[in-house]
Amino acid sequence: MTDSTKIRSVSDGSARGWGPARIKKSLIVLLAVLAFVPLAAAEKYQVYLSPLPHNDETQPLIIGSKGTATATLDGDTITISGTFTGLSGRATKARLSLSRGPGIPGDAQFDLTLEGDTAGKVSGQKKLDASQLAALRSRKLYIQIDSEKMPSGHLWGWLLEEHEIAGEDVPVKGSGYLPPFAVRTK
Amino acid sequence: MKTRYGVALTVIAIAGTFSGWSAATRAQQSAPYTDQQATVGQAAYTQSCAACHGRTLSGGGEAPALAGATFMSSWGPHTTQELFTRIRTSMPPENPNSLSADSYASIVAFILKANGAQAGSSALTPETNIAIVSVANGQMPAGLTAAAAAPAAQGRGGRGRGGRGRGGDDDSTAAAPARMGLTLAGTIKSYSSITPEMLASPPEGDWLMHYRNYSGWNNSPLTQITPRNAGLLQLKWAWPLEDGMRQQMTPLVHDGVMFLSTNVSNTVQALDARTGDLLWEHRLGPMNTPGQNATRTMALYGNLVFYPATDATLYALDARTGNIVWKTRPAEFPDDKIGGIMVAKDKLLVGITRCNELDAKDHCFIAGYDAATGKQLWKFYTVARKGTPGGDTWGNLTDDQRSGADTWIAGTYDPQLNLAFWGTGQAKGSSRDQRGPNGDALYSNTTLALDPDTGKLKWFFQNAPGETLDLDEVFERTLIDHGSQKTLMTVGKSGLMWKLDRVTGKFLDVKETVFQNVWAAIDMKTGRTTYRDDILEKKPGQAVASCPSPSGGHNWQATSYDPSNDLLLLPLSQNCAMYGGGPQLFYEMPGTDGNLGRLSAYETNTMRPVWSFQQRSPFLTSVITTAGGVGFVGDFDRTFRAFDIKTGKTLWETRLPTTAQGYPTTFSVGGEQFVAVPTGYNGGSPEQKPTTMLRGEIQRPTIGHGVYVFGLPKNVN
Ligand code: HEC
Repeated sequence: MTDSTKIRSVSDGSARGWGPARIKKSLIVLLAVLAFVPLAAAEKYQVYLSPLPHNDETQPLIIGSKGTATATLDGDTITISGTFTGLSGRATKARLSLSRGPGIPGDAQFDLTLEGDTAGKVSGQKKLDASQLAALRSRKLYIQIDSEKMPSGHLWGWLLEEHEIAGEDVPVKGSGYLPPFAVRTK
Repeated sequence: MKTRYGVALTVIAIAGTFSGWSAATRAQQSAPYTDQQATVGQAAYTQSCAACHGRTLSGGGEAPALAGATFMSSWGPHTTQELFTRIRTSMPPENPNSLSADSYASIVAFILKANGAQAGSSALTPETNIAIVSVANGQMPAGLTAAAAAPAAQGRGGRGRGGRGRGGDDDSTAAAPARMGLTLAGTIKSYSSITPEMLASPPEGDWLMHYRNYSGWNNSPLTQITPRNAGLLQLKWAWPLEDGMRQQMTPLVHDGVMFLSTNVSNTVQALDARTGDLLWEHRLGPMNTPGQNATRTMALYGNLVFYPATDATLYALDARTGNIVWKTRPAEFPDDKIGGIMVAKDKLLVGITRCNELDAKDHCFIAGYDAATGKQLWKFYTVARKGTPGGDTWGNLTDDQRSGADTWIAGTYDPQLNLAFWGTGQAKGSSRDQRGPNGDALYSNTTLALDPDTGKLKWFFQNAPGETLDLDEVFERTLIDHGSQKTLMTVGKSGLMWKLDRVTGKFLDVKETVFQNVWAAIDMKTGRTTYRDDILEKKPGQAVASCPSPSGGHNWQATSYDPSNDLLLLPLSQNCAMYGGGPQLFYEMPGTDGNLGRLSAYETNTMRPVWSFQQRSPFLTSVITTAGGVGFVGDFDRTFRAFDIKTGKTLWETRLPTTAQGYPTTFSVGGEQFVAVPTGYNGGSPEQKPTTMLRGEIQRPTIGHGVYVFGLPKNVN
């Protein structure tokens, strides 16, 4: 509101400056730039791999295991690459799964490639369909790695938009990263 | 939307009929245990388990029921071997695998019997592997647990052992039949009687009540400790508290006298707050009451100090001598406990918790007393019964089947409005599939505005209608004014931070303070929350993902309000659980990078997050703030720290013998400012979940309960 008023008043006052045509032209340039940026720069996601739900019995099997990964979306192709360490047994299987949201177990979508043993790499590349794309953008996709000792899931982590990693003991401004979940209705 | 809800309700209705295990008339085969084994098991249970799960196996606090429909709905589909393994590897929580395999097997036999399984001719072994539902129906044989009452009541209840550390067999110190009674009589002369005016506007150097002021701020006007000198803080004195039990107390201070309590022997002590010298001690007893919970609050009024003992006796002691002035037992049933207590003007308000005896005419309530005499003036029941307002929100449940809405946390008070504000816990059975087809279950998980003189309900706002994941909304109600607008803020276990108009109860605003995935939608006009579909559709025995877990988000570790910066400081926990299908399973919260602890500051006028601070260890004390600009908080990993209120930056930290747990306070004597922090090894789920998740990673001594008092060196200032 205030911005457009300002532009209009400037254009009113100056013949050489911001005439309607010129405004239109620069708007087009601006829009092109705006449109171009997200298209050209691939969407980036980051993953923190942590142990699946455990209790006193299984806790000794997952202690110290963790990993990280990144995912890049280029067009509709996702490329995943990450590492893990500290498993209590050999990693046996990795996949990308679909859930209702962060922290909620879901179903496998497709396999990822594993290299290594109790430490190693996970990677994969895949074209996502429209619903998988929507799921990615609403934080519903996650990586899961199974191991010999934890065959129905050892590490998992959701593909979340790039964010500052909360450094231990370092206060940050604002709330830090809090993935949104509830829809607010009015 | 409407039809969707209808479908959900139908599903719940069907689920509800499934969960009626106790009603099932299925043919019963005899079970693989002997009667003799169950008798041995009952003794072992009374010794090692009853303290938390209740003498009647009805559960209590965080500890689930081990008999009845609730237990059968989660454990029925599992086998005896799974139950055995679960118990052996995780119970008692502070000392798993501490009994022999035989003892564990006999306890399982007793649990089977308590769930209606018929004894057979062969004993249960660790290898016995049979579906629990195939032999048990959830119906306890009449009189089974009545017989256990006597030994349990005088025994040590079994909790102490683990709490005092592995191999700590020296029973002579804490556990011996210690001398009871007034073991040191006091002669305190310079103690001024506490008036309603003093409570409304507490003397600068005092910490007269649980949250320091009526508004629940945990904020002190003291200014001696500042961000510039906090780095020089040093230990002034320390005082041990008995080990064992859940230690989460608040050191209160008036006129240079500090009041402490320990619920192991129900002992109240008065100390010189400057030197740590003992002034009087009253060992009230009993030792280790079964089914007991933490004692978080005491209260002061006139020359009295109020102490809620673990056998639910409420004591008023003379603050100068330690003598009993009056005592009463507010609870109606043997296993009830006293939760939060507070004084509003000249009335003592007492909340009752664990009102869930199996044979339940038993309901929780808040009671008002004449503080001076102990005369009961009124009772407000927190479960709406048929025919009363809100009575139609429990579906088909009879009045006796309506349980929960415990008042285990102390309220706050607005003297101008003459209203006391209390929160309530979840309904019980705590999940919707256990309660059958139901509704909002008033007044569970509700903010109550009560007239402290009459107990009349002025307004209510239900923060979590029809709650189903043990995510209480019971915690402190903080009273904050913005110009003429009088607000009330509270944070529940799901981490929602609420703002209400405290004159009318009208919803104003709400904000997530940790990641949550249980609420799919929040109506920003009314504050009404809607669960995720799969939570609404959950069937008995099914587990659902819950972020946060029942440890909260936020829990009893109270927030602090700093009026000079309009900041509300929140100690928060970040973990999740698979909940409701037998044993809980824990995991790290998405988006936290493994940080289980979070401390956040919000500007309350705007609800804007100002700073936050995360770490691996969860915070297990309340937060306090001071006008000097310094805040204090303690954590699971034994660190107690001073931080800059405006930025969250650590100014000073120290390590304590064990977990910092309870409510720190700050006070001054003779012009010197001190900060006191309690330590406590045992706790409820905010302590137990990290105990599982951080086992082998963070080592904590299983002894070391006490109070540690810090101050500046003499030559500073
Ligand atoms: C210090 C309190 C405490 C003591 C003592 C204790 N428990 Fe528990 N128990 C809990 C809590 C809290 C939970 C819930 C958290 C969890 O699942 O670990 C629990 C969970 C359980 C469960 C799982 C119930 C369910 O529905 O998921 C069983 C079974 C159990 N306890 C049995 C026992 C037995 C048997 C003993 C005695 C050997 C015992 N407990 C001693 C606190 C206690």
